[in-house]
Amino acid sequence: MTRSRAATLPFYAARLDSRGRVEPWALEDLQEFAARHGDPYGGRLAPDRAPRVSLQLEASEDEPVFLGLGSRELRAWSGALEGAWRRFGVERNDTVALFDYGSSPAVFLAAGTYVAYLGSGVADRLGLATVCNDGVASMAGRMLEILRWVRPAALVLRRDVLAPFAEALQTAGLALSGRCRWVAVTEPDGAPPLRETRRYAELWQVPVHRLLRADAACFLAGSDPDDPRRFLVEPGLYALEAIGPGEVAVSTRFARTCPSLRHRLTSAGLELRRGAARDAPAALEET
Amino acid sequence: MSARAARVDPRLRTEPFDALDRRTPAGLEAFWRRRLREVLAIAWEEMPFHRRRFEAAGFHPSQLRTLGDLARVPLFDKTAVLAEQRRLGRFDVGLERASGDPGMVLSSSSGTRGTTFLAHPPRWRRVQGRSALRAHWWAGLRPGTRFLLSAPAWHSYAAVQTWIAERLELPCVVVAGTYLPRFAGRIVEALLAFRPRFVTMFLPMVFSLVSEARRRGLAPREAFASVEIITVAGAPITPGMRDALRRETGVQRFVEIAGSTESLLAVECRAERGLHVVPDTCYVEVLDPRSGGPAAPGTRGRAVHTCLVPWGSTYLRYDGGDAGVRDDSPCPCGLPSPRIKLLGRAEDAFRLGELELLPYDVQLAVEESAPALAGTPCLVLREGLAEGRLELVMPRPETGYAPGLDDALAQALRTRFGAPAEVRFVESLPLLFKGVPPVLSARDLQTSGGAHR
Repeated sequence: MTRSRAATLPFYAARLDSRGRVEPWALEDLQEFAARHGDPYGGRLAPDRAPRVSLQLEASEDEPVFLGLGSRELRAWSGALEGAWRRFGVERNDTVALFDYGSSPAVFLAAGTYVAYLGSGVADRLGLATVCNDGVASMAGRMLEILRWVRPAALVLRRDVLAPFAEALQTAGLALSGRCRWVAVTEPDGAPPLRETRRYAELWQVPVHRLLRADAACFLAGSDPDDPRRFLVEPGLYALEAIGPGEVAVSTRFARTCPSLRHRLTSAGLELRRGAARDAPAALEET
Repeated sequence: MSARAARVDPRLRTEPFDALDRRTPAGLEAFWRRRLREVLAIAWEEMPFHRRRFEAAGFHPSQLRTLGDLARVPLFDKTAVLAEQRRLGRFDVGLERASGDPGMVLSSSSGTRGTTFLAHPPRWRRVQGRSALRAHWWAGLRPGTRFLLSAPAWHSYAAVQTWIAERLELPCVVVAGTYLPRFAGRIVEALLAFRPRFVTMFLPMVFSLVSEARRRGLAPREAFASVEIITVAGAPITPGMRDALRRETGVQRFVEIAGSTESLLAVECRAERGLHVVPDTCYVEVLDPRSGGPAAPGTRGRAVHTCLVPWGSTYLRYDGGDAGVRDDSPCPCGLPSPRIKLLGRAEDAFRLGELELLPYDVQLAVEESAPALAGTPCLVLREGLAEGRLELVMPRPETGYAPGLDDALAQALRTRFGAPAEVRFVESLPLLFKGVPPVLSARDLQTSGGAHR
């Protein structure tokens, strides 16, 4: 579906400016539309598409919104996660341990077994193994068992479980340093604060990276290992635009089932830095 | 297994998934003999954990000529895997095949007695997926049905569930969160938005969904209006629970599935007389704990299974700690596979007077004595048992409660079990990771959040 046709979908048609452009929107706008019209997709489902997967957005807790996806979209979205993992550093035969819900894209894009119709996920493509631990605080103890016996090279943690996991590590006297090469932290919408990941990086003596997510737009970017204030955006997947001081909107090039135009990223204070070359990742820098 | 042909009731007939479902019981035995020989031979060649066990018992796979010969393969349980895990310092203890394949996912066992890990390479997923598809077919899943996933990626079921969805081209709904009561609202939202026909659910969660529907001012029947079949797993369903859920939700088919991460799989047919062993996933024995031999049909024993998918972690004659019964009599649904019913964890068994009981027995007694309490979870206090007394703690039912119900129920339980009994209603029980724990000490009850009066 072209951008102009996408703009005729009910959600977008209701928010066109005088020049016929879609006004940037946030998740709350979508929730409000979904509730008002009784449409689980919030007026974004393309009429010629039948979603293979309908994903309930984690961040849409009060008013549920679903995102319709097809195989190609799932694969493209997993490309964004792949870029982040590659930059954080993974090697063939590594195991990545995930401590988050299976409904989080930080989990289900990781392996083709975690969600139907993805086909091959990041781990399948990079020759990795994955192990997932359900993202509830009471499962922190099992995460220690994973560390002891599975010996993952990297951990992806839901922000909610950072504190209980840290406490469990401390109680057990287990050090992450020397066991894992990196940790990445994720939350349903936005990115964990840098000061928090820095604190854990100091505590654990392991690089702690961040994931920036906007699931409503199938958007995902990992922080730059060399400059944790910056998020590197995979080339070709998204169109980014600065829409005001510290504000960025994203349009998702691969979203067809529920096209995503001009979604305002919730993390405040993001400046857009274009990549020097066409195939270089763009950067979103926290100011 | 009886070689008698089953008398098939056309109303209960299970539409066969493939030729394996059309075999006679004798034909199925032949299939099992062949598969067991193949799997044991692979284990001998490629799985050092099993080869050591075979050698120690003086067993070689070529010696397996009848299903009875399987008894020569020594049993093992989780403690053996945990010990080997500690000895080697790693999860893969030598009962895995192709665990180095790219794209492998690991799942973990439930952590009540320590955590073990199971390797699921892509080849496992294909073979296990097809067998699990058979189980879902028996349960009534058909192409095109909208499929509600609660996305527990940590569980081995997640891996086959997605495979099944792809094969049957099922549109999937991924619900945010996990199988915990606090996510019941999200599941209800998905039920209302997508109106699925077929739902798979952890049994205690179904009760949470009923409560959540009510909390939203909906009759549970409204929330489940489109649902024709719910498969329930994770705990044995009692007849009273099933009736109560049917009444509450309006869903006519509650299909019990018994599954374990270590590849035990059995599913109920329409006849509801036990769960048919899924024959290309596993072979199941129920053993008398005293003699170690097969328990008489219908008599309780330990469920021991042998996985027949020789990819990834392959558990052979594994005692998973479940108490159960096996029934080889012909089933009116026409499926040749014997039926089992798992009744709970053997470690939860307790003595009361002259009786050896499981929490399942208490649940049955409760619902037969007080039908209004069918489906209400109950918890047995360990301290009471130590004094030879049944001390039951239950949440006050949302409907059907009348003053004096506790005394009346206690009296009925005293009569039934011939032992002192007390019943205490509370506002709610602590909900641990897998629902309400059936036997708990008062101290555990306190530390896990306590019963709220």
